Amino acid sequence: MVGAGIAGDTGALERFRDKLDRELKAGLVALVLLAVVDETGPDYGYRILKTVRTASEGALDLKEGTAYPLLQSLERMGFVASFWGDGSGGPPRKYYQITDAGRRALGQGLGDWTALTAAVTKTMENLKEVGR
Amino acid sequence: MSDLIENYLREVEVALRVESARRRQIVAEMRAHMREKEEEMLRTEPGRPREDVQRQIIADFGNPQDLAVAYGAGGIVLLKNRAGETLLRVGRAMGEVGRAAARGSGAVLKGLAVALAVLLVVGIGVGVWAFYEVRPVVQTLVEENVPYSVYDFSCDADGCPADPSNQTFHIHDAAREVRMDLRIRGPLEAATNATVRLSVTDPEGVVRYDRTFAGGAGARTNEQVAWAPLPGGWALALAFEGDWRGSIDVEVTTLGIPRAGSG
Repeated sequence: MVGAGIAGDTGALERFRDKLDRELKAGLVALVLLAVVDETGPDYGYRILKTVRTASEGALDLKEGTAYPLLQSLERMGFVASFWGDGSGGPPRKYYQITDAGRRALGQGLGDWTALTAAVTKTMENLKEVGR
Repeated sequence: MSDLIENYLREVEVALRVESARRRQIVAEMRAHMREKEEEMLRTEPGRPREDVQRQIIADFGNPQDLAVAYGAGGIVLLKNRAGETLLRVGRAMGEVGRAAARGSGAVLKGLAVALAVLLVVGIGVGVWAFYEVRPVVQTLVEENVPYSVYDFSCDADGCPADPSNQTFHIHDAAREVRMDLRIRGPLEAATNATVRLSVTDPEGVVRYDRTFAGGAGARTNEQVAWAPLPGGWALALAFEGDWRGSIDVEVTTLGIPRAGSG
């Protein structure tokens, strides 16, 4: 039946989109966080995530459970350094700032990302030509 | 009314299997974020119930067990029970071997990783069967004798803050014994009138500990104090006078892992 076929396709489509979403985001979220920390200077997690949301115009709404462990990973890799600062009347906040190694990693990562997107775009364009 | 955020943070603290100083910092960072987000959401959505706001904030951080794995308790989660609690995790060393093999670090390393993985699978199969059979007994025996850190504060020669914050810890009714380990290494300079005063007050307002430590060359203290585990909120006050440039480590532990929601 057509209806059952469409329902089956929808399930597979949703799984494919979830997989693509997860696998694409895995590395890119780290790159975005590094870029934000580099751009804003020392800042704490809550504001870093707000900046991501604002800069992406809502397209990237990172979950805290993903972002904070990722910031810690970046710190362990030596790409960001952290320090505890005043909480402006509230609890102390953990601030992050990019390191020299982090700047190098960011530059390399952005270069790789640019090359990758250019390659995919070129491939898609060429495929249209091939198809004619 | 119970505070959902504090209840959640206690669950996260139990779930995190990292060294105590790092665990304390992770929870402190989460608390700062959650409180600021709560304040902002209540301000921008004035009619929304606080508990509703707190539930959303908690949902954005996710399940405490998954969070613990994400914070790198080590390796890969292989086995969870129906409640979502991690029962078996492959250690960090094994994870590193696996990653090295995946990077193609050589046929020998890849072969070793495969062999170890096969042994591990066989071992897990036998172990899981036995583990489920005796799990309730084993789990109880292990948990009742694990020192669990409820408070950890350190500062060093770079300077200790004049007014450290977060000077409270909570003892749950499932906890046995409260033990404080105190290590002070005083300033190396001979001429200093810096002091640090440490006091601990139990939930009934009784001062259980109150000492002032003077600075000066070679000032050292290595002290362990134990108290009965009166459940509730304990207060620990640290007050620095003068330019203290030594180091101080204060850790409070209990025996028996506190259950979430108790106390």
